[in-house]
Amino acid sequence: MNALAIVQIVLYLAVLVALVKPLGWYMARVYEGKPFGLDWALGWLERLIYRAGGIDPAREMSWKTYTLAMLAFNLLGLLAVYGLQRVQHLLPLNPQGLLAVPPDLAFNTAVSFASNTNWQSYGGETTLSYLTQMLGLTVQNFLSAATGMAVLVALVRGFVRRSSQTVGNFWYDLTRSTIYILLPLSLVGALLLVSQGVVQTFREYQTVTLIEPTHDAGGAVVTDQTIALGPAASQVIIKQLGTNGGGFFNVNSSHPLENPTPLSNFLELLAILLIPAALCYTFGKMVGDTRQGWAVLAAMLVVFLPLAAFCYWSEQAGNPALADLGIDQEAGDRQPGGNMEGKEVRFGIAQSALWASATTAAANGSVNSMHDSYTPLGGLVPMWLMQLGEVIFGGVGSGLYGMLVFAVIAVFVAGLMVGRTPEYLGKKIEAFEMKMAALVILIPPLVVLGGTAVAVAGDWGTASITNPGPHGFSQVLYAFSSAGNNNGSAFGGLGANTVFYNISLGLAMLAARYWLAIPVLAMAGSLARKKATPASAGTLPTHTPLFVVVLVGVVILVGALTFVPALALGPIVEHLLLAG
Amino acid sequence: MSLVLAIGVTFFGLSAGIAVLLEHLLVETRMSAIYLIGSIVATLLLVYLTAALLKPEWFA
Amino acid sequence: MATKTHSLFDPAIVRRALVDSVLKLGPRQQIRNPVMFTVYVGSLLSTSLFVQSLLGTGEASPGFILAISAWLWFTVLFANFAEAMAEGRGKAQADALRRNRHDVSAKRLCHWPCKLDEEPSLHAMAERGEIRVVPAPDLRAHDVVIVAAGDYIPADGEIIEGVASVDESAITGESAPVIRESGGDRSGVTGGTRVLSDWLVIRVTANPGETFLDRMIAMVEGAKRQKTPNEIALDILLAGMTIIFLLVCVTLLPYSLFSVEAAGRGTPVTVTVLVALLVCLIPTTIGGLLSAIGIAGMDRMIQANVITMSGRAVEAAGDVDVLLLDKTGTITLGNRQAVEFIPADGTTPAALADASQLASLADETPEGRSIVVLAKTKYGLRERDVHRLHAHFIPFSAQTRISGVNIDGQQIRKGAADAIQDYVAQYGGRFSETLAQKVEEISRQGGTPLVVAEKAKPLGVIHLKDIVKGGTRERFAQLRQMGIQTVMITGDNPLTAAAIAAEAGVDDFLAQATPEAKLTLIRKYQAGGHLVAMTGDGTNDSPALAQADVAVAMNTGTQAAKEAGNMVDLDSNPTKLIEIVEIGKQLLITRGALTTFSLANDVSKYFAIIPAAFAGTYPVLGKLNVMGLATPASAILSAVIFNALVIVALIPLALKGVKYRPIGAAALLRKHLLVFGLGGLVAPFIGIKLVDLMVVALHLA
Repeated sequence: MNALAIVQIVLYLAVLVALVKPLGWYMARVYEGKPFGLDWALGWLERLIYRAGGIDPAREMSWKTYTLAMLAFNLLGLLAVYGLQRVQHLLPLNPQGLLAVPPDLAFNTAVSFASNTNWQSYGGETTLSYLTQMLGLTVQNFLSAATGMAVLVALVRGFVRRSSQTVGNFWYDLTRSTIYILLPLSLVGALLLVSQGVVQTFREYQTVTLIEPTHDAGGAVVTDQTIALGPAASQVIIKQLGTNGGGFFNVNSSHPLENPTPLSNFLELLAILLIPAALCYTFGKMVGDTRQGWAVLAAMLVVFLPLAAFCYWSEQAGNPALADLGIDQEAGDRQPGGNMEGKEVRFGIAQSALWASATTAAANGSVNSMHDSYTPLGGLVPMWLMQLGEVIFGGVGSGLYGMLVFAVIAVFVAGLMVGRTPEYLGKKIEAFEMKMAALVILIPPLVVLGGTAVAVAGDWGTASITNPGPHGFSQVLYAFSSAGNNNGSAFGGLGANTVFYNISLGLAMLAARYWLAIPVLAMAGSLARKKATPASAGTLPTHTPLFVVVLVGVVILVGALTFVPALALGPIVEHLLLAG
Repeated sequence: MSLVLAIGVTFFGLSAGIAVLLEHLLVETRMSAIYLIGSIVATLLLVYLTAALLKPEWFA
Repeated sequence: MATKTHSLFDPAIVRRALVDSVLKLGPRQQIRNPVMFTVYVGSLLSTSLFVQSLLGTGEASPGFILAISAWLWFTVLFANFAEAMAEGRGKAQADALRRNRHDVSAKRLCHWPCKLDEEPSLHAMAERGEIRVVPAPDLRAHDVVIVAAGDYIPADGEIIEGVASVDESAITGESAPVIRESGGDRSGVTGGTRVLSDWLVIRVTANPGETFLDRMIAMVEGAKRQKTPNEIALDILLAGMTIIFLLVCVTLLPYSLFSVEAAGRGTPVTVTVLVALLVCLIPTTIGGLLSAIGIAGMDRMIQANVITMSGRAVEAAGDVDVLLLDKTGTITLGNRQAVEFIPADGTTPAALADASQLASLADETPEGRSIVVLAKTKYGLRERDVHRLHAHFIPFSAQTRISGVNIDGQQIRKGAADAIQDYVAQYGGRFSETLAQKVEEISRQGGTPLVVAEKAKPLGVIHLKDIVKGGTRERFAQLRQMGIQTVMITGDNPLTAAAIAAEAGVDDFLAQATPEAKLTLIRKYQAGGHLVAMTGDGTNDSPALAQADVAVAMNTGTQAAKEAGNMVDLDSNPTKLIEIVEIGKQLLITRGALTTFSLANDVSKYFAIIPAAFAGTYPVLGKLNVMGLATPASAILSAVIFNALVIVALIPLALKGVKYRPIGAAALLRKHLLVFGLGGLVAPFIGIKLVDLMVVALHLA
């Protein structure tokens, strides 16, 4: 690992961790309804929304009401995006005159954005009008992220409250997440991105004359190029902040107008993990013991760091087959060395590998390099990070609630070993909690392994595979790992815009989002009803390094044990074949 | 209720998936009978285990 | 208990367990355990594959499939065996208890109430038609029976008249007879015990089939064993893990078909191998031993001479974080002892000692004895012969709350300070300032002041002291480290209670405890999220016992107390509570430890089976064969064999339980994680390799 790479990774993490406490503190104030400054400036907007929606934000909801509100709201969002795509040709702000999106693709895209997955089966600049992008996708970027945060807050309240029938008010949590957290951060971030050259315009696509004419695939001379434009900056920042990941342009953040400079890259990279990391502190603050939050964050970092480093190492080491041929893959003054295929020169290997790890650790899914082109082991890292259930940072809100479910399981097993029926944050973990927790850890493997099995079992799935052998298998496995964990990043290579993949991946995204959110809310309701057991010397401490080890162990064991056979037939065997 | 619904849909999806698999297997492979029986057993086991997970009191 | 001598691996129990493990193969029994039922179904499937292979169309060689299915069946049998072993000791005990259930007949009184003679002649009563002899099973609750010396008590009941010595060894294993009498806290009798002397009139409290003996038999036999809440929660987790691994194995088939096509060589993975992989991956170790652990926990309670009414109570015992302990008998020796004579003004210590001794000569209470002893050791006053003194002794009465002696015109009285104050006042006397101070001082030190007076003249105070049992402080410090608060319950005044509480090192105390105060205290702790354990014996303890999460009734106690509690301590030893908590914790730890071990085991099995399963398609996966297992077939077989054998290897641990040490939660977790987590990760690598060497040496695959 060279020094420059280390500096980049360390700097990134240092800035990230430094921001955790202030942002986390701020968000806790937002959810606890305590004054935090910005409520003076934007309070009118919040009240206006409540009045317009006929909402009484003080009305507490049971977990069932909360869930119904969440589902109904998301269903409406899904229908709106679907409808918008189907009639975009009739609506304004469509300077390119793009046609209506076909039903299967529209379904896939609508689910993708409602579920905070942002799997891109569509190509932004060739499929969607400006209006669809702004009113459909950007709005969903905010709202799906806010939904995840709301579900998390409900779960945290479950831990905090005692003998309570309610877990909060969904509309209150949703509104406040959006206007006090996502909106201000996006505003600042978008301006910073624009300063770096990210486009923000309603003008039609521009045609420019090439300095050096070139030839197309058919051999004809090409003298000019159409450059896609649009209101990109405003969408790019929220897709990063809200762990959405759906790029304005098809190639996402490797596109020079979406991510032009190393500084813009740093900002976008920071935005990926910012809220998920800070929410850990928010959680600690809300349960009245910030050490609990730091412990969860530590567990996330303990998994993330080695994997990011491994990914970088694998990419920098380059292709073992090329090494056998005596080709110099060392980094030096004249070459970045390693495996640069599919990576942008302006970012290099370290920024690409770090992004690949961060975007898959968080359920973001935006890319600044093509994961399909990674070495087998380098590509294994993002795939496995997703398969861990998107709990290492994970989606905004969803990542932490997933991690807390793993914590519940860790507490269950470890708690027994200290001779008590287990409790977490004072709440007894009993049969109902285990039932819900089991569902949460069960559904991603069900969707990922089941989906991959169906896809590789016939032409409907295998026809889209563009690489032979194990790599082809990896493409399918990656696609379902991505959709089945609401990540949305693509391995690339797989021709996923087919009816089969649009529908199956769409179903996978739905399952992975809502069948996790429902049990989590049910657990929140059950926890809120319980009394709290006071801690004593006999209680398992859940803020210690030892517990971090247990938690990491459970996450890895469940993730590793479930996907090892599949990974063995994909990236692992590919690596072994390459290495000879 | 929503949970029951969600589970219902899972099973529907799963059985459909298994049916598709079966059809494929029956056409493509020689040892079709073994796979057929294996798939049926696996499906029944899955139903049983799901019941054991959601309704443990049935087996207490 | 009469049959306490059975060791864990008594040959008779092992023999019986071997038979039982085959009998338990019925699907109705297997379906209760999600993990083992999956193995069961897998065994059936692989057996039918073996039959098919015999017909010549098998997916693999019949020998290989046979070996796999045989070991899958062994896995099921070993789990059955573990359960049968755990039940074995209980069954042996139940048999012994059944032998105690004699075909007795009961003498039912036709009319009650009725006047009984001092020495009722049952024969005469029968002739008069006052008694009907009926078989014991015909008795119902509320019937009234009379039991004479030599008779077995026909059913559980409450003594309503009479005093008798009863041999309860059939239930408690204690051969010394105990006194049972009507009224008070020793009025409960148990069916199956025998009256040795005198007679008793008993009101039956239990219908046939619901008696203590019946419940005890059912309990030790585990016949009506219900899964406990934590067991159910663990079962859910295990079912969830099993589903995940089922998915892993099922989807491996299409993956394998795809890979064969992609690689252009090899054969798809066989169903036999998938079943083998499934069984190795699902948590069979904990799944197979889970019910054995639960039964063994109840059994350990029985070995401690505690009868639990449900497994739920054993589990709750591990969770208890507040212990309510009766002061007397638990924290202090049952009786107070005189330690000092403090004379009033104008009296010498020797004179006070002399008067005190006289007043206590006929007092047979331990306190009274201790006064006589102190007078002898400190002032050399020899014990005088009571009968030669021509003294008239005044026994203690609840009305006056004083006792004493009339001798040679003297009227010496002793009693609590306020009672003597009243007595003195009758004769126009009163306590001096200094005397009142002395009384107050003794109270403050946790002692009981006993004032001695002669008519109007107070002679002085005897300092009676509660003697805190040796080692009590250390025990409570240990409990604190376990995260358990101790609360002392006493009828003493707050002053006395505080002093004893400080000396004994309890965390809190409840003075002047009434049954209502106890109940309120328990409710208060429970509202704060605590789990409360207590012991009790009297009828007035019943509401508190019913409210407490773990309520241990003393066997000497009343029937009502035994009904209200969820455990009965046959030894009637109040300190047993601490042991009970430890057994509860041990049960939970054993469960957690084996679950961790079971899950950690899986890592090695992937390394054994994955390279073997895809050896034909991707030979390069052989690099993952880090154990260097001989052939694909031997690798898979070894993993299955190890998986089965580890259940047997862990049976002793499951039955004995992982040892509990009060070293604090964090240290406990670290220790068990190292042993069972890390151990569970590493051990199978070694184990599977060893089994593989044997398999190859024996040419099994």
